[in-house]
Amino acid sequence: MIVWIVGGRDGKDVRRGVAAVTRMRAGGILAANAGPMIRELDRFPGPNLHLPHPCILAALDGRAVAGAATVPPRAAAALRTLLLDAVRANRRLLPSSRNDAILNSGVPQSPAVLVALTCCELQRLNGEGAGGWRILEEPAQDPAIIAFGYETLKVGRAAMAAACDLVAAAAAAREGAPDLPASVAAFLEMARRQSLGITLRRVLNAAEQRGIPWQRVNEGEPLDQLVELGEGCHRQRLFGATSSRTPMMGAMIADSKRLSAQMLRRIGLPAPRNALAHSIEQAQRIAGRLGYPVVVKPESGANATGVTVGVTDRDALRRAFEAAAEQGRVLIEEFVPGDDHRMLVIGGRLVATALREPAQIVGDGVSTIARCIAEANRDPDRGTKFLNTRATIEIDDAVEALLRASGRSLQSVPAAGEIVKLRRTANISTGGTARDVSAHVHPDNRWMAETVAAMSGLDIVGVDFLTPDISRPYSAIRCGINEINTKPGFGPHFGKPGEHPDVVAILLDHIAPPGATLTIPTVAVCGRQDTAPLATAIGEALSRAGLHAVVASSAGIVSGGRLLNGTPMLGASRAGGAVLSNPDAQAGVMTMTPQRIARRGLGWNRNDVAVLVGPAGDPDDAAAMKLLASTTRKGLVVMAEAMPGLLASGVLEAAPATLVVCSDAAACATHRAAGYPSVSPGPEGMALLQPVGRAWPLAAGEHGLVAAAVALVLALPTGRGEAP
Amino acid sequence: MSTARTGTAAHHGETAVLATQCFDGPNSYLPSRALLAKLDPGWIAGLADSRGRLQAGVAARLQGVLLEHFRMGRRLTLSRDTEQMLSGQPSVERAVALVTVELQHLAGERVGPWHVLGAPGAAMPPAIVLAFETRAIAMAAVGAACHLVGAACSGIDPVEHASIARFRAAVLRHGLDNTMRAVVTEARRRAIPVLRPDENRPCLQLGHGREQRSTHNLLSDRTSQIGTMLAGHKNLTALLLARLGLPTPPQAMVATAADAIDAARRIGYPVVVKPEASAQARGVRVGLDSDSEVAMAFAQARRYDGGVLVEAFIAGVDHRLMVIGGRLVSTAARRPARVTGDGATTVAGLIATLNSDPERGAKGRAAKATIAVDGEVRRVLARQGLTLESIPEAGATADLRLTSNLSTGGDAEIVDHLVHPDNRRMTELIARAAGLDVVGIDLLTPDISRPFHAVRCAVTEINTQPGLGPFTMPGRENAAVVEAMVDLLFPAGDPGAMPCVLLLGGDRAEATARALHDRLREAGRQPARAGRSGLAVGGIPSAGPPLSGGRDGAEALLCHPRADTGILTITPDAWRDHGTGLETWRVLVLRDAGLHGCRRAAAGLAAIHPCPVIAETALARVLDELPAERLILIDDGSPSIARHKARGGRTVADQDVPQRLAELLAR
Repeated sequence: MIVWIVGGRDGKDVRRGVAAVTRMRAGGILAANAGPMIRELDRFPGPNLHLPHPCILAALDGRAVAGAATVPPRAAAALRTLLLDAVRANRRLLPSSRNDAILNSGVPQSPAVLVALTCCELQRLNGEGAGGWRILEEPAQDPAIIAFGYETLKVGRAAMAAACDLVAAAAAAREGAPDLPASVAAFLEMARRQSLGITLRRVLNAAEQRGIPWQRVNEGEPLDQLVELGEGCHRQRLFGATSSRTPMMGAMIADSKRLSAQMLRRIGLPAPRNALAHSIEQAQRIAGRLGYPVVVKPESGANATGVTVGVTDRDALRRAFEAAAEQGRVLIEEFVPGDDHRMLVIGGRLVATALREPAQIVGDGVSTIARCIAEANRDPDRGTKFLNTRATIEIDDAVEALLRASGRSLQSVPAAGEIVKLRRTANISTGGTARDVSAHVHPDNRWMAETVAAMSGLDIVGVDFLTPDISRPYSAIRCGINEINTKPGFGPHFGKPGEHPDVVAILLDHIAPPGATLTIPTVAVCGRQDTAPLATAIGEALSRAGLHAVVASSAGIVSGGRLLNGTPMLGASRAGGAVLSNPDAQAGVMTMTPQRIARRGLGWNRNDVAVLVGPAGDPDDAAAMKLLASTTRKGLVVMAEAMPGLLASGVLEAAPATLVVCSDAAACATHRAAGYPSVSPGPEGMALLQPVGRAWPLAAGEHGLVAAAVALVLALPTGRGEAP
Repeated sequence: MSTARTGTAAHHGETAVLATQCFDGPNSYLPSRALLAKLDPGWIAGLADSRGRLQAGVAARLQGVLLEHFRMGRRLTLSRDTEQMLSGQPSVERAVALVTVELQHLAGERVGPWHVLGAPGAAMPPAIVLAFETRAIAMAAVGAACHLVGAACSGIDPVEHASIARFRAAVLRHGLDNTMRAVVTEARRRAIPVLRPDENRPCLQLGHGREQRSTHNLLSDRTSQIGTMLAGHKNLTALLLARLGLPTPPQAMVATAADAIDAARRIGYPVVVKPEASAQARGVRVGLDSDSEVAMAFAQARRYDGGVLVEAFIAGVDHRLMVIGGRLVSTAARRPARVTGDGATTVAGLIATLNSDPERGAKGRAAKATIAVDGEVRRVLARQGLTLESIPEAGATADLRLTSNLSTGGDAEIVDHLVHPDNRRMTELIARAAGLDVVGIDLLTPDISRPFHAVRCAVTEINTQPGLGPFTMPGRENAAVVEAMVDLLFPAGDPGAMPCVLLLGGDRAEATARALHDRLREAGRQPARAGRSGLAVGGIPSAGPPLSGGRDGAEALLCHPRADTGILTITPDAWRDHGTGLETWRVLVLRDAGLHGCRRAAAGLAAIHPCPVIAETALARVLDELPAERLILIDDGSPSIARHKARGGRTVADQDVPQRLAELLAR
């Protein structure tokens, strides 16, 4: 099948594209050849006429996917099995209730519905916030036009072909669970590489719950884990658990295990003695000097990659050196016996201490070690590392070697209650577990961890502390700070509710004051005519309230009254970016036309006030204004002349409140009687909001009244200190 | 004890140094860091005349060698004392000391007083002791100096020798570059203490203890990691700026040469090809006019980490705008390396003449980098219809490169007075948007005096760890940048020096230190105490080893991020063998007079700083040079107390010593 690429990302009218596809279908072109079954038609970076969130619009040849116009319930069930068993990255994730109901419905479904929901679930079940989907045209027809949400464009786009293959596999399955198509496996690999780590994901989920907006800066390398939270002057960045405040120098210290140990020892904190080895011979000399056993590790690096603990002889040293050398320069370090503690310091305060244990199993007297591992891996918290709170225990050479060292093999049967350690390192990413021991930390050790934070300047830091007893002061026993971790994963502090301190909430409180949503008041001005002068007038009203306003309009970008860029800002998404990414912005004003909203959707998720200029005569305009109204948090400001048209088209119902701007007192009274507060010129050069009775200084010019109305909806204080 | 033998090869200079010892602070020889080198009397005798002096003319040769080979491209000269002594016939030891000092001085190091110890015929072998700044450089310098003196006497090649190579390597590895040197000088001018706990890294610690701030090159200890990462990726920088509505060149990330050519055609020739994540113009090719040039440039650029960018070539002058602490502090207009013809010399000859400028030398150390004649130079010449053999007319200029970085031989001019206020505001906005406290912004514009939104211009890069090169060129020093950097770290007038008490002695000194520590804690301070019993900070003991002489004890106090007061105890033996890493102290306490060497150490220490001294009466005799108002004797009822009081001196009861120390510290 050949589907024409229509629409595209350059602002061409989607509707035209859809019409073209429909024409092709009428001409019977589509059914003939095999080929791509799904094609992207367009995408929207914000709320749009199809869905209230970012989405991809695609044309789908459902018959080509499923081989029939409908898919039997058996195939839907097979699809569900595939999604749950093979697709999801985390066993705590479930399909959305709407999608689950469809998969379980027991009635035949159209391929388009299954593909659309699969597009969403492929993303959701890998931890992305995909949103919903809908079918734009009759689902039974080909090509169907589907719209589905995405969080990461790259993943959303790749989900289309994977979804088709997955649905096709389910439809073709006769009995039992079908195999996962190779293309879907490739998609999962890409999506997981691309996905945000579990620490960052949890922080963002908590941020969303607090009403803090966020976005990714870059969807691919480099810095694909970099996100921005909040708007304008409140904007904060997070890169994993690195904040805007985290200093580069601290990260450099943490990144070099040799340097960090040297600095720790300089100020009297316990750190293992170590030295860089450039050759195996040098490694042997150093190990001889330190005394076996030693630890061999890459000088920089994370997640225990290339680390060998407890090297006891020259042969083992050679192997360990070679393993570490693959990661970079090699450090030979004194072995400090003790349990591995992760001490998390945020904002200079020790907030959680977890005791980390290497992957281990407990025998039952009957099962082999291999079997116990399989059993442990059934824990729903275990799964792909970095996407789950605990990682699957993988059986590799290191595991088998450790078992051999204690005279066991995978087939040994440990006694009931016997604990068998499977690894020497306690990293969560290699299957380790952790429990909170915050209550047992000796005050000197707390002081020590907080001093490490002060020394490195790191505002968020994980201190790896080896000690046989966390409740005894570090100066009283043999112990050592093994590593300083910048961008620490919070894995050791995740668990069932109540087991650990809520480190995610603490991190969020660190970057945003409790209760703050990090948002700035924004005003959207929508009309067919040139709204730049009105936007400027609103910007002036915001300035009067002492706010640095950034105005993006057809006159360009004006920040705090100064021109930043004279190019007209027509695209809603560019205007939104110009305002929300400006570090000076304490308030923003953006203009847009209803046509533009209809074509491209909105570039941001919400605004506080929408000013609707002119009537919504055109049905398309009405739909666009309705969308804008539905994203408005405080209220609409509407000219009296436009009221009849807006009332008739139902736009006002979508908004939480509407305020009518009207110079005529009698007309105002009529609107108030209908339940709409009004703003009109009052005494002493003030604009008066009735029936509330609040006033705002009325600036000269034709837009003064509207600007005052915006200020009144936002309940801004006047900059002059007078009570508004 | 840090003793090491230096010198290895087959010339008689290398066995000249019998032993060296470094003191990382005041010591019994000098009141500063000092290097002691014991010289071989036999070696000296072999070089000297009967009076122990160098033959006539040898010293003058040495002077020539120093100036010719060791200036590191700077306009530095020898000190007048050195010139005077080298114009005569100094003794061998003096010559070695002078050359060691001058080698360091010419490498940009701070130098100070020096002595020759031991007279000819004395029991002690001859030795020199001299102040230094960087340990590794001083150690290498003394070896190199012996070789140079030996070479000057025997007429062999002075420069081709392992000790010289070692010295040069030490300067490059451990010395500070121009930028950091300028910061050190400015900080010292403000009496802010500067420490360099790790000579292997380009790091400085300014201020002590909890007041400390630090830099790594021009990263401050608060420069955001995320901001640094954003600046390190040119495509993300462009995204950030474009979102704000600021001018960026149209660009595309490309993966293959074919992609690069496609992108270049789409963007329109001429274009720039650069690695997405490199610094200092490495791998950057500017002004490419054809597909084949783009393909070649792509092959070059992909050798660096990260992707490759194809970017529109914006005609204009490359400006570097330094924003520090949120303010634009200076702007340099940078010009690519170029030659001006004289109608007779070839381009190659003109380049050689330029490179002979004493300001040019190793990049980062010299004011300007040497111009390397490479393929890029030939390409840029070809673009102007020239070759290396062409002879430009008198007054005609030929560009050698299209990038203006100083590291590729470019030149710079400060244009602060020309910058349009909107351009200043734009750079400050960029610094805020990227969250960077120190940033160098590259703006290509035909006219810096016109607002960025009114001309075709582009911000091509933002740089963390920018070099101050363009702002510290000789003859046009721009103190504003260095001052802003120090202001950023120490905005308040307080220089952040930690008040310290130095105690000399044994058990009694340790007991006094402990009592003072407790007293200060009760007063709400965070004292750090180091001594034979190890380290304790704010009442919390540390795990470390005993600390006394040398730098360990002092560093533990001065580097500790929580300490606000330092208490260091040192034994007389440790003072003699290691000195103390503590450069200054507010109060000196002298106890345990009965310990071996205590009297001598007490007299030496009391002479270093004009601070109050609290001492046991048994030490009063060796302190009688001290003005009475500086000396507070511990009252033990002995007759010397009465004498001291009669002279108007003060006393303190033994149990009140900690209290008195706390009072003296509080002043």
